[in-house]
Amino acid sequence: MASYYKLDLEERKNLGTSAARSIRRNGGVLVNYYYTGEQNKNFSIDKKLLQKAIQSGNRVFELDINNETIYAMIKEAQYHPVTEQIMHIDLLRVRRDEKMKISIPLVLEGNSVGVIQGGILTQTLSNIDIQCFPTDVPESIIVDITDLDLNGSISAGDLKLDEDITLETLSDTTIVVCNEPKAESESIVDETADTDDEPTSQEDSSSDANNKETDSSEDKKES
Amino acid sequence: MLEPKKTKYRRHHRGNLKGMTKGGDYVAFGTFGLKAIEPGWITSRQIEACRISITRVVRKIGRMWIRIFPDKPITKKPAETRMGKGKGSPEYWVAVIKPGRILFEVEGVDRKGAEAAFHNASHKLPIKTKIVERREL
Repeated sequence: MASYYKLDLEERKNLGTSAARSIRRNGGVLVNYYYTGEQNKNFSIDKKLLQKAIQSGNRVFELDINNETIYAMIKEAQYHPVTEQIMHIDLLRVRRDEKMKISIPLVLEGNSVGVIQGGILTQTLSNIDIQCFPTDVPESIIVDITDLDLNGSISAGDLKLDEDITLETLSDTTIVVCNEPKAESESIVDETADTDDEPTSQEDSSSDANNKETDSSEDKKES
Repeated sequence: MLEPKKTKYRRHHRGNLKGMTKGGDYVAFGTFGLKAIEPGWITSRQIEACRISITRVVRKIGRMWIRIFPDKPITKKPAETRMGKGKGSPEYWVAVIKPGRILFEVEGVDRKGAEAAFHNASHKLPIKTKIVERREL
């Protein structure tokens, strides 16, 4: 196998909420490793090391479990809702002779003909699901949009993939669209025009209401 | 302005703002998002003001999404009214925001453009916010 980023995992002896909290307090991230037919194992990893591993762009990582070299992919990651820091990851073992399902980011490349003509490019799909061997996992899939005309679109079936890579996403799923700007810009202008008017009209109405209230209060005082 | 078309009950209790958001805590549609880091109520007028300020930057080059909806009616008694005689009438609508909630998203603009759009929008909100990117994993 090609060289992969190695994750230094520490086995967890104490399980449960309080142990998990203490690991997180000390800058660790909880890891759950599993594979079909095997019992899952609980580990922890240093948060900084994990961040570096994720930023390396690799999708498959090397693990050393019980003096055995194992390859695994990050199946799922849980984040803190406010700080956005990783709290927990799931590692799924991958085997060299078994194809695995993985989600790969799409990268748009080139200047589309439609955009040059004044169209607006909208990317509707940012990741694509593929099936491939762990040795063939690409960092990203490049979508060439140079031939994308105005009112044209590129779907998942139009992507040029290697022979070993199978597409899991439905082939008619749209990835990127180039729309005419006219209708969209008009709608935005109309919306803003309406809304620009709205607050003023509401301010007027509210000010009228305030005037009425003050009038009525004055009447009450007089009476 | 955003408000429900019809409701089951005209008046709600105040509720509470404890804890963090249960969902809607990641950028799901666009590239950049504005995340709440404090709890609070955001009125439909504030949402509308934010929408206008973001649209000014994003217009013609990108798209924007509003990820919150004001579905809670807030009542108010008229000025100089004696206490009692029932609860006041609904005056405006708010969205209940808990920390971590994504409020707005944009696509088609770079980091600088998104910062400019969200900087203006954050000045129209009663809570502290921060700009976040779409998660890699």
